Amino acid sequence: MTLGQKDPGPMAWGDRFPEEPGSTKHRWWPWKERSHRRPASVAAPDSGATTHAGEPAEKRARRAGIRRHPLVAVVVGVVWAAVMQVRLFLGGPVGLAGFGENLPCRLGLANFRNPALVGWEHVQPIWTSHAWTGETCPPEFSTALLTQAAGRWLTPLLGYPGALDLRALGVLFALLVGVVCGLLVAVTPGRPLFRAGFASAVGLLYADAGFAGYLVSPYAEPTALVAAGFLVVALLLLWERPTAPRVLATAVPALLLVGARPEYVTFVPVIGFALLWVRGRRVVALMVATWIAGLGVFHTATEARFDDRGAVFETILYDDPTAAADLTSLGLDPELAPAAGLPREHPTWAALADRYHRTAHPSPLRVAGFYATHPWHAVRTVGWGFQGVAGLRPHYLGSYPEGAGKPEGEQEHRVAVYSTIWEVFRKGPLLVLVLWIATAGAGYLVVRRRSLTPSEKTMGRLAAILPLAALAQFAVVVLVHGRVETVRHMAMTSWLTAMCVPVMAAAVALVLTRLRPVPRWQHRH
Amino acid sequence: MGKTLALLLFATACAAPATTHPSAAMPVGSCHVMSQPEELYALSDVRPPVPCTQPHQTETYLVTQLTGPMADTPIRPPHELLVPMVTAGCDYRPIRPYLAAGPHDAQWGVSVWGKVPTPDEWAAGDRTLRCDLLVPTTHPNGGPVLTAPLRGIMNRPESAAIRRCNLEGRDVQCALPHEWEWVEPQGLTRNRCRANAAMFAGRLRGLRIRLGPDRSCWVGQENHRITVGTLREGMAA
Repeated sequence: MTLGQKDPGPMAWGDRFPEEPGSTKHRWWPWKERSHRRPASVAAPDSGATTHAGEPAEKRARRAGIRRHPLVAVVVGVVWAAVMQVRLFLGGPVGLAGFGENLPCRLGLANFRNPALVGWEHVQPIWTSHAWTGETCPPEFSTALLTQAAGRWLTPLLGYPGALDLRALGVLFALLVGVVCGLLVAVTPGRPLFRAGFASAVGLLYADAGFAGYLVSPYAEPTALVAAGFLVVALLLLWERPTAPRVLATAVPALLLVGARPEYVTFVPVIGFALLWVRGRRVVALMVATWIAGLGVFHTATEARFDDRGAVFETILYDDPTAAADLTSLGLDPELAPAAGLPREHPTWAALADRYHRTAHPSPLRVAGFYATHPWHAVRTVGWGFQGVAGLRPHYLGSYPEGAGKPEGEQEHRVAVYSTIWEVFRKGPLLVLVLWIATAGAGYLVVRRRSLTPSEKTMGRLAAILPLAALAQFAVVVLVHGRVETVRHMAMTSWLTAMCVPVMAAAVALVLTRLRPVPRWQHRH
Repeated sequence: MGKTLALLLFATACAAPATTHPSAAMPVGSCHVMSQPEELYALSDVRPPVPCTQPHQTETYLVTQLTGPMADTPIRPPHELLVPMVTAGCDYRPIRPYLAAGPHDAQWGVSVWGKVPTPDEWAAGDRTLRCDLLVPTTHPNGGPVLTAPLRGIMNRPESAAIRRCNLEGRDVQCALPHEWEWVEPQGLTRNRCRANAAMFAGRLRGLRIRLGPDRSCWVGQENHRITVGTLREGMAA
């Protein structure tokens, strides 16, 4: 069997000639190999009969072209697991105050905090067993309960008090971040140094003050953020060579991510697209996409309750001179205009409660339609959304436990690399959009570059998918939550946006490294 | 299969449901544990009552029925519409007789919390409105906890938890260190205050009185002694 006879249609030139085994050229330092390059018109070698020890040439080349560097992967994984532990616990534990979050109640747990505190002031890590009855613990379902159950199992093993100590969750998530970083080394294309650099950039993202606090908190976000990391690994592996086990392996983090919060239903079409963006195994991919869609629909149907007070009254009608007319456009009673811009706790709502509950309420689709026909409102709300992404982390939630000697609401800044980069976005929130477009553009160039191997092109696909996922998540948060707690609701969007930074850098490096479609077997000669 | 697996995982992760008690079967005088803010703010409460000598947060002083057009709806109205109904239904007038408050006793810091049936109970036709009393906490770092019944409490020393006292210009419960204790009613002359204080404490010897700027009547120990408890006479030990 020759390489030339193997379905040359959709494959790029470089795809058919992956890196030779034992190559010592500098893949990531193009200037070191530029002098060796030859024009693309040079004929491909007659590889048809090229086999070693009876192994098909394509298989050998493929196997040789995808190196895992297990030692580097283990070292990077262990280092980042340790860095995360140190970052979270050295000098006293830090996390994120679980203001109003009662998800662990589904596990029969309660947080007996100081009743003099509202909840935003300090991290309250200790949750104890409690028998919730009736509607005191709402039937909220989240895949985060699985990790919290694991944290509950870990709590006594680590010697922490209570039934669930959020610090045990922090230990667990820190280890998982290490695993993500190690796996990224194994699946990222390039030389070991480049792989370690990319994985460390992702590790740094988890360690950043904008996201690390979630790892010691009762929110569903940490499960989703870590699952998203595993999903990135799984997708890189899947795009590298689609096999049924890899497709199925993608389903696990995908299900954990989609099931964590109702808003994450936006990942269903994005993951579905990513799964179907493979050459083979489309049936399995379709099946997995169906499962994920099923879970997403289930999640949305059982939990998501669209509250038009946040999306309409506190967002669209905020500081709105045409509130009555806009209410009419949305199908709501225009007599509710006095409640425009007011939170549901405002006394004005009490007088309008009866009228509000007797009026027809718009669906998210209708609100989306309103934005489509009222571009000024859309621009305004999208602006608040970008401000939410640029905010990176809620400014009002404390990072330290009570008794740590820190003032109420004090926030930690132990690792602040991405937080520092975000200063640029705070000055110009629209630069977030520029980053998305640039990342997608770099991804497109990588995917289209003929001189890159399938393994290298996986980074391009990731660069193309990330902004798509961020945009979808951004859109649903803007639509459903508007300007109510936008920064916290944008946590996943912010994470995806921050991921764009190392992924775009890697994609640009790939593009610059392979400026011309030269088969790599020629580089040595 | 994926959805089944997910549901199975949810089921294994979630806690087993706790024992419940019908809303309609909570009599006057029953005591309720609501140690979490979520339990206090929830519209309904179906946790089984506890003996009032055990630690608890609220005590039922009135059980009545919700009436009006909103009560006729087959689906339980939302929170915003129920709150005015509960506020109107939980009559405050039975509170003082329930506490056995005399003319010179004043309950302080006691709040009313209404509980309505769960959505399922509502759909089954139950319109019971339960009105509870909540006593403020005496611990700066702890929630409200009572270990004695509120019914007739004004005749017992535990009533110090719901009496108004004052320490260095700051209002506190009489169960906490204080200098002055409030005597009902207010808006009186100094002589009338003295007479009321005498009736309240059963004596004036060793006591002094003070008329506040709002003509409120206060009684305290001589020599500015800081005390804990109430000066009201006739307290059963």
